[in-house]
Amino acid sequence: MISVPGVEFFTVLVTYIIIFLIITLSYNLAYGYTGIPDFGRAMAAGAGGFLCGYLPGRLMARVLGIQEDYLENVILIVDRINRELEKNPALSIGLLVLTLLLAALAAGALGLLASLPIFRGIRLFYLGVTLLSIQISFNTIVYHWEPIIRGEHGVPVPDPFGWLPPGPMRSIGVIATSAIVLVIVGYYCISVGRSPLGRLLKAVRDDERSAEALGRDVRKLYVKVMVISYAFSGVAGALFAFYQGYVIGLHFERVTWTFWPIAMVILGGLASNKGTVIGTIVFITLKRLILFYKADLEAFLPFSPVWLDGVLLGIILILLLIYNPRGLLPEKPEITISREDIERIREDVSKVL
Amino acid sequence: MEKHQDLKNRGNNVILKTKNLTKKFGELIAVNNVSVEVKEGSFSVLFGPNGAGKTTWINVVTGYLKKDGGEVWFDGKDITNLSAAETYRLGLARSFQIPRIFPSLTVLENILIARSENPGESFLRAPIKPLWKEAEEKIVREAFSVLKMIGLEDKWDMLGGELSGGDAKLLDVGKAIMSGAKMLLIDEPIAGVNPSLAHTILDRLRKIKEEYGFTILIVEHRLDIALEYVDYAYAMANGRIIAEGKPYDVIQTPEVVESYLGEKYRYRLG
Repeated sequence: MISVPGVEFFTVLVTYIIIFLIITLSYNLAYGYTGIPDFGRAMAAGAGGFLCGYLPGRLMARVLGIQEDYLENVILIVDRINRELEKNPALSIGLLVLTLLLAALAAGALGLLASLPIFRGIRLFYLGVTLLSIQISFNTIVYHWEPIIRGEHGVPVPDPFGWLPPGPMRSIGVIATSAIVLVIVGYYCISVGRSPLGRLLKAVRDDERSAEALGRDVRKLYVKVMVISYAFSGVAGALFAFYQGYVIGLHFERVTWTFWPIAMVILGGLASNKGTVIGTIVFITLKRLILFYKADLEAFLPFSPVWLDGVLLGIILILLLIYNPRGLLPEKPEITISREDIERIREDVSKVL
Repeated sequence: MEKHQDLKNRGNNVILKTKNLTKKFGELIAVNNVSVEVKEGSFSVLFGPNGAGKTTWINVVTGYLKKDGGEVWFDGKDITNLSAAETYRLGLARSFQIPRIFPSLTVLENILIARSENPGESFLRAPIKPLWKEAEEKIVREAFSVLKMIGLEDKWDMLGGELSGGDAKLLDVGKAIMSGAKMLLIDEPIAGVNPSLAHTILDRLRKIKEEYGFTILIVEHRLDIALEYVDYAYAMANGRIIAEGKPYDVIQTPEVVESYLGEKYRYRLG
């Protein structure tokens, strides 16, 4: 008998969709609108996620006056911190907000450092490859240098949602917080897309040299986009770490956090925020459904269903790029003021001249 | 358009001057001690055979290439070592042999992007529309004046990448006008377009120049069409200016006939 997804399936699905929408919308700003092929996006999410494993626990231990070595006793210390947070919603919310802000700051700073090669005048494709190399180094350091989050052993993350009643309320807390962040990020990305800045970013993507000839400092523009986009992705990483409650050095690897988001944006349509939303929802839903039905599919498949999501999604992407290369909802011109206003201005000008 | 009215009222001074300008590519001297003075408000042509150094001269003047010697002065300022963006901001705009249009932007957006002082391009202000809407409407108004001037107002919502070659050239000129430029350097505005459209383009340029007082210098091969419209000509060969003056006088000088036009052409003009 075929299983039917229950409430838990949908809670996980919604959480993943919201967190990845933050990543893909911010990635679309950098790649779709500005044309920066960032193959190192995983480190932006990692900066926020690993910071979640490193900072709030140590901070709370200091606030609570805990003297023991943090990493040696991390399980016990975080357990004690969680008991304090359960009793104090204001402290929990404060810690959550502070951590998310610091995650944005850390990821934004990383975006600034990682994009500095732009000032050496390197071409964008080489920047993309450089970012991939930096991301590999970044993850290698976090994985092997134990003082950060104990590498492969990882650390538990303090739970700022523990004050909520046990059960589905915690998931609702995570979803509500992530949704608030998504609304802010979504509003920013969509508004920028419909503003003169969005127009400028597309112009830079179309012809960098020509935009430069029009008096724009294109390199500074690239760096600013990277900082903002990384900051948003960093918050998504931190939300994911809070959601998981544990972070290890293997998390935030490049397949899930760089290549899948790229695939989601391409699936939806580059420089199309609506497309990015659709692409992300379709992609994650398919992936979660495959995971959910793995056991049922085992009897019908000539290979292990463990491979299925990767293989199937790869095939879907290849077919899509062959038959619909511009994505499900391709980019369209986004006007800054309404068509009616433009026509009115046009008529006024015609009368005067 | 106030800026353009000011231009119209200005006197007949020299707006662009190169003094012994030189550019080498290895052993080849592409621009060889070129000294040129372009009068404000003039419509001139720079012509010469392929490889004469015309486009290289434009590239050095507008900061796209570094010079190897000499000076460039624009509107009373020494712009010899300025970058392309800085030169553009001072009001010396150029267009290219192949128009540099942003293909995924509409015709209107291509014109709007030429105006660099736009509050809506700030990363902080962009998401808050009331902070830039009024300024944007003002710029859109100016953009439609420019579109009307170049005859593309009916195509405002077409994508730049969908324009014909001739319209793309006009749009390139429109971008230069929108930037608030005082002088336009236009590289081969009628190359690759049919004679009828070539006349339309040059006629529009002439009207733009007369109505708004721009200084326009075009680089062009097709003298049979271009000479009707310009009021001054510079002939270039082997990296040097070999003649300058009134268009029909210049093309009859022996140096020009020898290096560019040929005896047969002199006979026809005569």
